Amino acid sequence: MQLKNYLQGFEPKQPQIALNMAVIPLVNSQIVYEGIAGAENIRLAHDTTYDSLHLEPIEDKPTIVPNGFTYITQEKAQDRAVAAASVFNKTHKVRAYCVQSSQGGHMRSSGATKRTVRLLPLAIRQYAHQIKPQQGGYSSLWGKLREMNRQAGVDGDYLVSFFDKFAQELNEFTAQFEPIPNQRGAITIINNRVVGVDILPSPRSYLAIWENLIRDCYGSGALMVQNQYQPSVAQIDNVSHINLLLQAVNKMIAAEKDWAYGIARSVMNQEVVEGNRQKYQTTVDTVTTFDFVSEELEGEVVLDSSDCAIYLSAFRSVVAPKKVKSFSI
Amino acid sequence: MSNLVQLLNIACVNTGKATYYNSTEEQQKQLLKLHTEILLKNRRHYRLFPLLPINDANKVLVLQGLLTTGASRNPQEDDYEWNLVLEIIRSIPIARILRFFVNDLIKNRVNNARVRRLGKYLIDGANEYQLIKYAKKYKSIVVHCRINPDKIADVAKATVVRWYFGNVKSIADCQENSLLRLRFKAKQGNIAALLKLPIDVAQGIALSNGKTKQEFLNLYAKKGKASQKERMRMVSQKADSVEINFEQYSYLDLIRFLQQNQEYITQVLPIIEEKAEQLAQKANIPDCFVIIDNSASAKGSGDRKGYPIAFIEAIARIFDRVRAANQANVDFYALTPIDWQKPFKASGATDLRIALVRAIQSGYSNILILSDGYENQSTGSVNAILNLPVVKQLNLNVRQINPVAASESLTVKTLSPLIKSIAIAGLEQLPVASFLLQLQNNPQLLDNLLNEVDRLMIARKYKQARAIAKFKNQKFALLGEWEDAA
Repeated sequence: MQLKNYLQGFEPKQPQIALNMAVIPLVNSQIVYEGIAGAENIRLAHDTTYDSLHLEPIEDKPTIVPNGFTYITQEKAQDRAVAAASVFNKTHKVRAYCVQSSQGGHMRSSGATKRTVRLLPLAIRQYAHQIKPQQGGYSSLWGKLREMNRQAGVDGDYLVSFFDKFAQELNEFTAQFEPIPNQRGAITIINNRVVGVDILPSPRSYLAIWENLIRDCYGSGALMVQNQYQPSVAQIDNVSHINLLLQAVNKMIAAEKDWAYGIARSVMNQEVVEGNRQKYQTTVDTVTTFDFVSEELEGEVVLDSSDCAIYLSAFRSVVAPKKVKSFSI
Repeated sequence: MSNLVQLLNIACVNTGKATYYNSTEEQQKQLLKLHTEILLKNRRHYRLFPLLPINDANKVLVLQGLLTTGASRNPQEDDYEWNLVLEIIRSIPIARILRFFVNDLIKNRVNNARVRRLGKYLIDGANEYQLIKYAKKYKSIVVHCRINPDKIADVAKATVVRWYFGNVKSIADCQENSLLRLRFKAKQGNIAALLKLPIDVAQGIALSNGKTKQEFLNLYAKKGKASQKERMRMVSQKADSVEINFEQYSYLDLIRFLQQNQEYITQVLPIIEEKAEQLAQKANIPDCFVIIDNSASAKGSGDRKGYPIAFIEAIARIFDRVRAANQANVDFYALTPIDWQKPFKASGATDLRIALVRAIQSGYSNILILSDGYENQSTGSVNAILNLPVVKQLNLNVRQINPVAASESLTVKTLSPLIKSIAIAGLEQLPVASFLLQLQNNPQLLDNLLNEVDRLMIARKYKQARAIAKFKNQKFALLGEWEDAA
């Protein structure tokens, strides 16, 4: 199985490029799961222990919590992140990690107006995914958060401190990207390498979390490594006559497409090794969830009964799977 | 750009609220910094700014500056500045003034003689309706400014003030105040009385008496004393049988309304077109190519949600009417296709390259770009295209109107240094837009204008001063020069 096999029906669109980050929007005009929701349909049911959150759907439909889903609250309570994606029909307990080490207290379900939904920055989202099998305690992300903050010149290990310090940079950076109609996902490239692939059930779900993906997750990631960037995108050719201008612009647009698609293609064609498949009965369909790893990416996916991705999130893997020579005589 | 010109440009559009790109805190911090800098350096001109067509948020900031810093020791000068303060107060809706008084003055414990004088002025100028509608705020003012209810000459008004402090407990205590009497009756379940109260006061009472919001709205829509603006809101909230006369609304209000309530297209679109035509007649527009950036970010956010795309549509329709009336040749290119028979929608990405090439190849020398200034496909490519020698040779007049106030560093986000860019957020600012474009070549013009307004204000020729400051009777010339329009 190759990564691209999960993306049946998707069509890549013109990449959006700003500084060291490029986003290839993925549109799927054939398959949309309006009956399954994403972050837009989640609310906090209750919060009683530091290592978990009870979430519930706002509208009565199966809902997927995207991985890295984070609550930052102004209440006297601990900010929390959900490391792994999961599907649920009704109130559901998810493993949560604290992203604000010395703040105690629990969020109240009535405090929705004091909470904002964010997504973990790329490095932390990746790490949270990697430590998932270890079932670590609520403090598992503190070390990695401290390391990220130190690299960024931010004191402590609060996630909110990072977002506060870089609010303006992230806002300005995000402004250079926009969602397009019917978009259900994106392939994100930073410093000429694919760093993430995200698919959501419907354009509505994607739009609900688009800004979090671009700003909180990938924007943060891009910002941290902007100094290592060497531009490689095509520039417009000088032309001798105004009539040749359109041709030059089209050439530039095509070159951008070739460049971004070229980077994405090799990753999409890589073989994936799947983890244990788990079936889950939703009110709409039986879905299958599992983790996977390829040569460059690892992540998790929710597939429908025809093996099409309802939800997918993949990040650059730190440890590549062993390459085993195929058998031949 | 001089600080004054920068302030005028920003004060037309920046509300200090979050934009698609910036948080509220960042916007407010930077805006306040610029205001403070100019207040300290050039108070004489700064205090005249609210007479220009700047937005209310910036008028309030000027007011805050004037009230929180020392008054002049010269009584004449002090008197003159007080008159300017009153001019500002009269030009801002009362709800906003009260919010400013409570949130910025009372909360920050600003309590000098001028603030108390203003408090008294607000109480004296309020009518019964306002005193009941904004009861909590007026009560805070009374307390802050130590106004004694017994010294208020107007009996009805004094009764309301006593009611604030719990000294009016029944209909019998209401004396001359008929509205307060109605409030007591409504509290007791009298529907006729309820419907004569301001909508938000009535709604609060109705909800506490067990009615649902929709039940109340349907009832109030039929028989209540709703203003035109409230009626429009009620239509948006899907209340039944609201009597509404769309002719009475402003061009921009109608466009915003239609973008949110498309089912009214047959009633509202002809009025929008008629109003666009009236505005087109006031416009001085040469042959031009208009690029409409109706990408997703034109949706706006927070308080400004829906405004940028409405504003883009408003300007585009004026140009469309200019074309229809053969006043000038105008061609359009929208990033997301538009249907002139429907309201505009903001969606998609910003790739201005093809649009710009079409504009350049169209042969027009005037190009207007309605855009927030952020390209997301290959940032900087508009600038790269305009910098090509073959394009530079054409000496194009390219202008950009930014309806979003993406002014994170208090500059209007521009697509290229080769483009003259301005930010405006309201149609009343169209004449000032022409002026702002002119100021990019000659900033001294702003000093001249403010000097003239100052002279007229000192001479107590208020009407004349206001007319000059508001660019009344001025044609707008977004692509030409200010003098052309004069």
